[in-house]
Amino acid sequence: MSLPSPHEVEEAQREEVLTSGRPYEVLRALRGSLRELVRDKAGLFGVLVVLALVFVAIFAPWLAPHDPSRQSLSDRLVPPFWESGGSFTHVLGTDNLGRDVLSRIIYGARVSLLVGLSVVLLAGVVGTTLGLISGYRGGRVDAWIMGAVDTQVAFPGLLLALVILSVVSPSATSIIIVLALNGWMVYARMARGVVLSVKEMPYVEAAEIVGCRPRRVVARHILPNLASPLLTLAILEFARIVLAEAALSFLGLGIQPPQVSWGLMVAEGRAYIFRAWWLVTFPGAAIAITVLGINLLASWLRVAADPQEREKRFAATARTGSVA
Amino acid sequence: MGRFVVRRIARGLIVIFGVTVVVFVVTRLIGDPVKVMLPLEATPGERAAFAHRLGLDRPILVQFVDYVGQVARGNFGNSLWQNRPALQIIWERLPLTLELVFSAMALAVLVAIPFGMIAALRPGSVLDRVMITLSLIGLSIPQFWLGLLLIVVFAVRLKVLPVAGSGGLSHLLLPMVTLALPAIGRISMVVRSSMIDELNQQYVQTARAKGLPRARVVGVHALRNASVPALTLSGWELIRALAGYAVIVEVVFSWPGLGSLAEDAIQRQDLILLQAIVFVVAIMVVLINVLIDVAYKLIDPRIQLT
Repeated sequence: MSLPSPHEVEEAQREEVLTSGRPYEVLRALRGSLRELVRDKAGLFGVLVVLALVFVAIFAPWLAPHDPSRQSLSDRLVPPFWESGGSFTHVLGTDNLGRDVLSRIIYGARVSLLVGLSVVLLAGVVGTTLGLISGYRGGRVDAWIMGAVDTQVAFPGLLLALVILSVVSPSATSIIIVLALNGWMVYARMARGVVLSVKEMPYVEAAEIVGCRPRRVVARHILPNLASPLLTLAILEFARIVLAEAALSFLGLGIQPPQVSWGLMVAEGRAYIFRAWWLVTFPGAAIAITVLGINLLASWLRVAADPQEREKRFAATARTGSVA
Repeated sequence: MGRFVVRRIARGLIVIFGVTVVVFVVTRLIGDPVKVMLPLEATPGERAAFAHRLGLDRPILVQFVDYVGQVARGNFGNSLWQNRPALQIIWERLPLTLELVFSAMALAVLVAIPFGMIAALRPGSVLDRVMITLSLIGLSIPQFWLGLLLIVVFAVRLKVLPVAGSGGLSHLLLPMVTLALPAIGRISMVVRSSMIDELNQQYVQTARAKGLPRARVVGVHALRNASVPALTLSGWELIRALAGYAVIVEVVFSWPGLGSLAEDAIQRQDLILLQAIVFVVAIMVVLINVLIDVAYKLIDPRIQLT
């Protein structure tokens, strides 16, 4: 058998580039996942909620009917429009200072999104990098990094966050830093686990033998394996952070007035809970629906993006089919 | 086993030391205790006297060595707010927090295991999907909000349960449910998923084939193996509740435990009391971690303890 001529090799390569980059294939894949999404009602709900959150956060100044911090003593504690005394001027009513509840909820989406994204980015980048280094290098570096992870996982995290926030002046920035310091370990553990499971694979060894530098091996050959689990983890963490920010703001250790946050709104409405139920109910419902949407998105994504999960689902239906 | 426990406790001591360092650094270096604890109108002379009384005018390293020495002897200093030993105050509040946290976690495990098991019997069925959605809703609701809603419904509208405070089962019920609900959601998801894995194993088919009733195969054989991940998660839930969520639930229900004590200490800028609370909670977290690892070994002898 003769070796393929250089021309043949070149042609094969060109064909590979062409087929992998064919736009209609991308479109078909996209349409396929869209169809799957429409069939999965819960996943669709999650996607819509997250899209709505982003949309509302970006376009808050245009969407909000009123200035969220404008007080009006004559319009204090106006109920939502369907209760007697309510009107369409303030669709969801006003708070004890006459501020429009709907506008405040719309602006509150900005804080949730900002804090959530910043923490996930910060903790995710730091944690994943440390996990990759730890898994790829092994040895003493691995022992040190994982020792730090194990030690910090055993910390009473939320309580420490409370202590730190009670000493430094609470603000969006300090909340982001404290929550990121608290959350990087999960990414490090996951990244390290994936590295260890693929490090001995022939393609990684091949890349090393060919002479790739460690940075290239990790970035080009190992990192892609992380894409799907990392995305799911990041989304789940996002949901957790939105809840944590709301809880810290509720305790008065997070976002401070005059900034708007859903958790802060619940705290402010707490004193009026018997007279004005809407002050606590609506912002709390905003948190719950947002977090539920993010969680639904994550659980749909985990099944959709992971071949093993798909198989599990198939195996499960096959099993029940045979038993029944 | 003995060596393993000793090693785990040694690591736990490192954790406790780490917590001590972090709390010390945060309170002495990032924040200025004098500024935090004295009123704004205090004169420079008063500030200096206060700093001297607490020994804050000494070099930071000397302060740290002194602090560690005092803590090692169980002396956390006097609470600035109540002017009596911080540890004494904590001992009075601790039982209530333990009562709340342990009853909530017991409730969570007792509800979540059958919940997840039933869902796992027919994955993809309507029942399964309803269970998944309910679990997700449970773990998505903010606890402080759920607590307030429960107060409005059961204490204010229906008037069947007390609004706040402690004493008896009727006081415990609402905070317990509030603390347990997200944990129920998370644990039942894990029970479901590991149960599905186990039910696809060959030993389950073997057990069924030799004529064992299905209830026994699912409830004994498969459950024992599926309970390892559930146990891990329950331990984490216990730790999370103790070292965080309890603060929120206790504040909402005015439950007079460690959590609302921590909130009081923060409001009153009582850093000495706050340090002592974090230290005591850290010790409990370390102990629970060791107990979880030992429980692993008892449930699953295949696990190698190193």
